[in-house]
Amino acid sequence: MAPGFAVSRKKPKIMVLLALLFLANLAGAADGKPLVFGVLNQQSPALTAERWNPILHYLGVATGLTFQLRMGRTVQETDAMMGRGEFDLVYTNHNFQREFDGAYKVIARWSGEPIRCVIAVPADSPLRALQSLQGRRVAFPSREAFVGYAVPKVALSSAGVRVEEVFSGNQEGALAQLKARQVEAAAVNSRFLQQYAEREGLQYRDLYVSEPFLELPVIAHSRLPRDKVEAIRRALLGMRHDEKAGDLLLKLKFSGFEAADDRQYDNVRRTYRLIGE
Amino acid sequence: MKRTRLQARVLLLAIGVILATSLLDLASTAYVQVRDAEKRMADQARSIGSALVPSLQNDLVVGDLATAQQTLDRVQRHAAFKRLDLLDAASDKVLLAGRQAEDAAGENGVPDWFAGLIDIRPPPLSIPIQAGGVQYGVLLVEPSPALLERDLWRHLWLAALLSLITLAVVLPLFILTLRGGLKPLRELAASARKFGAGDYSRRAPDSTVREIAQTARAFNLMADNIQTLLGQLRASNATNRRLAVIVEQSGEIILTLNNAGIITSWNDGARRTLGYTAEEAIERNIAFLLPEPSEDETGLLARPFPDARHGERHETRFRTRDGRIRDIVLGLAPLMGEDGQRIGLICIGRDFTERKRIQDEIRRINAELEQRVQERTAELEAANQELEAFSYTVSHDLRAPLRAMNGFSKLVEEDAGDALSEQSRHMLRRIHAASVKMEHLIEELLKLARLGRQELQRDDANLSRIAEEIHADLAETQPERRISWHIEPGLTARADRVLIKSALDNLLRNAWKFTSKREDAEISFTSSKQGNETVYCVRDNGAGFNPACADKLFLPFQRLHKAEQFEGTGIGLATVHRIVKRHGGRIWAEGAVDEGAAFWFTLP
Repeated sequence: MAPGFAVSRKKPKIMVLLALLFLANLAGAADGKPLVFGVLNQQSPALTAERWNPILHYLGVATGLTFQLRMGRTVQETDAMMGRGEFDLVYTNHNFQREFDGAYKVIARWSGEPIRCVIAVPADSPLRALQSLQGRRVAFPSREAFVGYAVPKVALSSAGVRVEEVFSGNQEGALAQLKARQVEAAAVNSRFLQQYAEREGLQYRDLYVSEPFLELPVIAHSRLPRDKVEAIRRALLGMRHDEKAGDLLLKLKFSGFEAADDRQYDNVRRTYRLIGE
Repeated sequence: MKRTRLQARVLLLAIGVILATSLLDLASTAYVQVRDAEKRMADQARSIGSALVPSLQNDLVVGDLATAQQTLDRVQRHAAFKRLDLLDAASDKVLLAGRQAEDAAGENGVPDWFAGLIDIRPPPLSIPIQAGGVQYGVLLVEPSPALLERDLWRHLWLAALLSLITLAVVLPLFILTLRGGLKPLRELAASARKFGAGDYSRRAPDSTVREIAQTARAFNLMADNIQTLLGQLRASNATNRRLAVIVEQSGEIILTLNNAGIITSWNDGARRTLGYTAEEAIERNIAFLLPEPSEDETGLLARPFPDARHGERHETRFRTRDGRIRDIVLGLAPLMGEDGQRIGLICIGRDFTERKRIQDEIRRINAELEQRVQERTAELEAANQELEAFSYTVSHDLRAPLRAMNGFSKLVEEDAGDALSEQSRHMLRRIHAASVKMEHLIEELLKLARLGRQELQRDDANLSRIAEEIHADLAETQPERRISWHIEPGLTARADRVLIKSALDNLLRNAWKFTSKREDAEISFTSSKQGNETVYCVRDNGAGFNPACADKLFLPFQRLHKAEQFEGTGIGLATVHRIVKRHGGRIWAEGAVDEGAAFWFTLP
């Protein structure tokens, strides 16, 4: 079991901390202090800042509010910060884990086609079914990855298959190990697999493809005043139509945010529940 | 002037050059190293700073200052930088400062003067740490010169050591090479010293060093020239000594004057002739020798000569030491200096007192003789004139009785011719003929006499034309005669036309007369060259004459033929002889009996 998931057993303490932070943040928000915007560790903090600081600057201009990017050094730290209520807004789907669920609400999501988890084997692999992976070496990006680990882990568990887990650090490393025949299969997201196969000439075959999962949402803490949340949501959704954000979106190769709500992420929530079990 | 050996100079120069080169090399190396090091440090600061930025970005984005401090400490641990600080972006306050390890700090062993000399001050580098347009801080990187100073200090010692080793190795080799290279130079100097001491046969040896070999050749060439000049000088001195002896021992008076007339040299000949020794004469003016000094004469001896190459002859009189007056003939020539200017006068004289006396005596005798000749000539001319006057008078006076004899004999014949016997008439005719002949003879004598008194009128005379005129006259008198005439055309002479016509008339009439008995008569008038002289010739093929009597041909009244054979007076050739003589010419004859005659004459 990963450390991040162990936090769920300390729920009473976290709830107390969240309550304290909630009160502190309420005071901070009332004082006009910057709203703390957390971002899940999908990239290094520097790259995360390169991507999100311009967006936060835009949001500040659009809403008249002030935002401050903050994140932990690791996913666990960021999740812990989220659990402690240190963020007013977060870009993550880890809030759908049982221990964090409820404190934040989805106000928008990163645009883009849904992604799926794919467990791929080389095209000439004799493995033909998920069950054939029993006891085989399977590469995963990291233990914290949702599509890259939580989803395939649930699928494999459901199929009663236990594999030798090999963590490669990221999606690229998992597929590189597959290409080098260091592992029998690799669990990655469908979008990255397609890009990698085209780029590296990887001939692969799907053993498993999950249901689609939406891109990560932007969630707001329930302590934030409704008008501010609404203003932020409007700004996020209006970004793709705002000419002032044109250069920014072009630079980030990003088409903007789309409307979303909590129910659209029930499959995520369900997956976390299953893996938690 | 202080003199030092060339070897020492070159040695000092070499040491100086090696040290200077080493210092310059060290300085330039240090300069380049310092500049390179500054650039390298700046690059290193930029490189390390840039390498730190991503890590610090991550640390600052997540607010992890402890990790950032560790990052700075890890880099700064080895004291690579003087400062490695993280500054607050807004206030520039130091948020974090990189810390050196304790063992890294300390002295680098570089003295302060050296650090101050090289003065390495790399500029600090400020690198902003930002992400996505948000600046999280500033990384200040200030490189430390300590390591570079230490490296340079070690390099200095190493370079100094290498220089000393180089000197220790190179100098002995250099000294050996220098000694070897200077050996021919020392030999050249030794040769020059010995040559200067009088060993003129000494020559410098050849050398393998090109410059010294050139110097040696130049020295040897100079020595050759000097030796040649010395030989010429010795020969010249010998010649001069001989000339001096000749001059000194000459019997002639030889002395020189300067331009002021002061005697500057005096030979033994002058002493013997004039009695004064050289010591008595030299430095005195030439005037002391003149019995009656005059400005003209002293000036003459001091005047410049227009022609410096030739002297002048001058006669003067000198007084001897014992008071006698001597006639001296002087040859004067200018004495020229090396610059071509006259510096004096050379006088070479001879005592010609005795000769002058003899010459004067001869001149006096000649004058007396001349006087006597003139007197005798005048007497002779007077006698001749009297004789000519007498002859003329006699001839003239004889003509009156002749005409009386001629007239009366004719009257007697006319008046009493019939009464006279044939014998008497014959005698009368002979008296008449004799008187006519005598008158003709007298006429010729008068002509001959007039030749002596007549003055010559020289002119350009065309002899050929004169001969042609005479030929025409003669042909007219006897047109029946057939004679072959040959007169050379263009014969001329500077002569008295009247007299020369008379001479030619006599010669051509003689030829006409003495060829009268020949059928194939030939008469010619030609000329020929004998040396520079033109010789004219009248030739015929007539009766000729006995060559033994040729010397009588030109005497008056001399006839070589009988009157009944060829008539004539015997005066004609005498007249021709006198005319040619009066022109200063000569006349002579060649001939033989019945083989013709040839008369040659010249007219200068």
